[in-house]
Amino acid sequence: MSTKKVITIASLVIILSIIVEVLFVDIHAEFWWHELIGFDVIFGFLGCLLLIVGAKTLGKEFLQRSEDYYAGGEEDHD
Amino acid sequence: MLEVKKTMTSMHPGLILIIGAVLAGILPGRLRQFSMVAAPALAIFAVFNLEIGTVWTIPFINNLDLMVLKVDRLSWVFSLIFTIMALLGNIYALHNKNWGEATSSLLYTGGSLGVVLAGDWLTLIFFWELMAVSSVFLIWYRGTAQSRKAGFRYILVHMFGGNLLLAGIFLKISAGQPEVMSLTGTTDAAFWLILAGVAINAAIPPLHSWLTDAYPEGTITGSVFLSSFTTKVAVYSLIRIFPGTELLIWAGVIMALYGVVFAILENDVRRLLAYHIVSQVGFMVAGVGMGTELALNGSTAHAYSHILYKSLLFMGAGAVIYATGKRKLSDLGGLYKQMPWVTLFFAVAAFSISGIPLFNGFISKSMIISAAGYSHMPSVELLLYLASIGTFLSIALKLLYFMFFGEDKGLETKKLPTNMYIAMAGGAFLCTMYGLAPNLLYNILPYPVDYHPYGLYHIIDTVQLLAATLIVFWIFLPYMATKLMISVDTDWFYRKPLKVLIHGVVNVVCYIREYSAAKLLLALKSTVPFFANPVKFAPQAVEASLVAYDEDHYRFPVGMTVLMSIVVFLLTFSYIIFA
Repeated sequence: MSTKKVITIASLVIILSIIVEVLFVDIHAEFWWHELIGFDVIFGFLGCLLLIVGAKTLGKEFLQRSEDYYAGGEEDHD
Repeated sequence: MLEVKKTMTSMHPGLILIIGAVLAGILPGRLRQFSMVAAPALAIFAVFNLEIGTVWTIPFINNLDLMVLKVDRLSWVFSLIFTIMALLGNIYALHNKNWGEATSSLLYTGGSLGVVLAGDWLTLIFFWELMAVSSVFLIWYRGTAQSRKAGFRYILVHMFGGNLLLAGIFLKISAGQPEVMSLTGTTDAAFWLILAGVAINAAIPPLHSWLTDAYPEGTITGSVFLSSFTTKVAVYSLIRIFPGTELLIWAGVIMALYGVVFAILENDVRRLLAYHIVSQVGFMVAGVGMGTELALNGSTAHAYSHILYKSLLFMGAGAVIYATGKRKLSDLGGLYKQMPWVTLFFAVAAFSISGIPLFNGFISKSMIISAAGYSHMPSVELLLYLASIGTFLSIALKLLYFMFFGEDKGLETKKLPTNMYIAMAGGAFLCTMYGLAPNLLYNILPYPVDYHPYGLYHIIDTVQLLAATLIVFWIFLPYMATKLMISVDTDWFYRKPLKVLIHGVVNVVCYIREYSAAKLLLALKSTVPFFANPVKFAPQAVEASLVAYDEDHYRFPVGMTVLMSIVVFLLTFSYIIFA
């Protein structure tokens, strides 16, 4: 599927869900931010962005090594 | 005195599995396959026959009683899921010709039931160690150099954890408390030792790296068992021993996010899944830390759901590795055409772990997140929410997309054995069944449940969260493909610096030994001339080298020596006789 198609469908789902939320849902949340309409869209969007960028940066700067990092060419010698 | 209540119809389900393990080890071919299915099936039957409140005790040394079976609602629900999982896992492994693998996996499941049903500390530690010892063979049987090394690291970490637990248990027993009970609120040495021992098995960072190190190296069928038991037995132990220990809330939140971050980077399919064990167990650990009835129910329910969907994920990944021989995400792609059923079953599991409504992850994970809300912990709630975004991102989107869809790599696939399909279908059925009828699970949880996951508000929230995640994933799609790289984790400390340290120490000791040996030899050599026959020196001064040196020339003849001995003997003898 093309990027455009997927994003269009997902956006339609979000718009539909916001309409349902506004019209039908009787909100009884523990915290004020859950009472905001569409809070989960924003949280999902920013959260996902944060995770991807955060993880990739951590990986690039600190965590990732070449595949034979531990082996050093000796792992398969028996 | 302990009350002994025995019903003749009930039987210890763990014992049935252990007998099954012995039979699987000695019976040939078809009979072994029969015992692999019959033992777990009988064990499920035995669990249904266990009455809540049953206690069996056996007298042991030092006036101790071993409480080998103690059933309450918590241990019953864990026994049920463990026996169901033993059945599914054995069906998945039925084509396996290796009797050793069948035996060790049945022993492993039997051991975990032993822990769950143990009423006293000694029984618990016995079965705890049985699990560690039997499960390592599921890694070693893969037979590669990597798996052998990873297996050794696995067993060393578990022996260390087992010894911490044992030390704590000795303290408990010598204090006159042989029964397993909640230690929440105490802060003595026993508390910390037992917590550390259980935390290693629960894979709480930084003590988690044995899991992500060893599980991807296990056999295809063995990793399915591994993913289901050790960590969940630890979660059971945490619920039993440490409910409401606040430290665990943050430990759990860190776990949930830690696993998610590493999973985004991971390229090895089963290692990615292993990081999601850490993440999902984090939810359960956080629930244990909150300690409210809803939270403890949530942790139990999530462990129950997790065993079903995570084993199904490992079965699907195992099926892909079996069919293609490839384990790296960067080598896979476009498999949905060749493996439509596996794609379907894997998708069910991926939707379950992501907490999509109508699947079983939704009904259990939401309990824990709601419990955080009801306990007024906004940051915990939001961070767990963030971790669920990460779960959806790496399993339902990244793994599903890059493994089965995405770029078609034109891979050749081997035909899968039918038993694998049966096991996966069974797992997928159960994931959906509990998702559609949550009360089947809610009714067997330890505390009464008043929780309704399918509120409109809740469903709308989930849909919004996941749809937004989907958009971000698709925008970053080219960026999400994994590289041919590995990530270092806390196992780095014992695979790099510790290795250097041990090699360094060994080198220093060897150097000292060799240096001193060489010096000693020199010293010895220089003294050798002083121990030579002194007569040798005297004539050399006079005769110099006129005649060739002959040792016998200066030596007493043998006859003379004998004569002298006889004289000395006779003198001594006569002295003894006459004096």
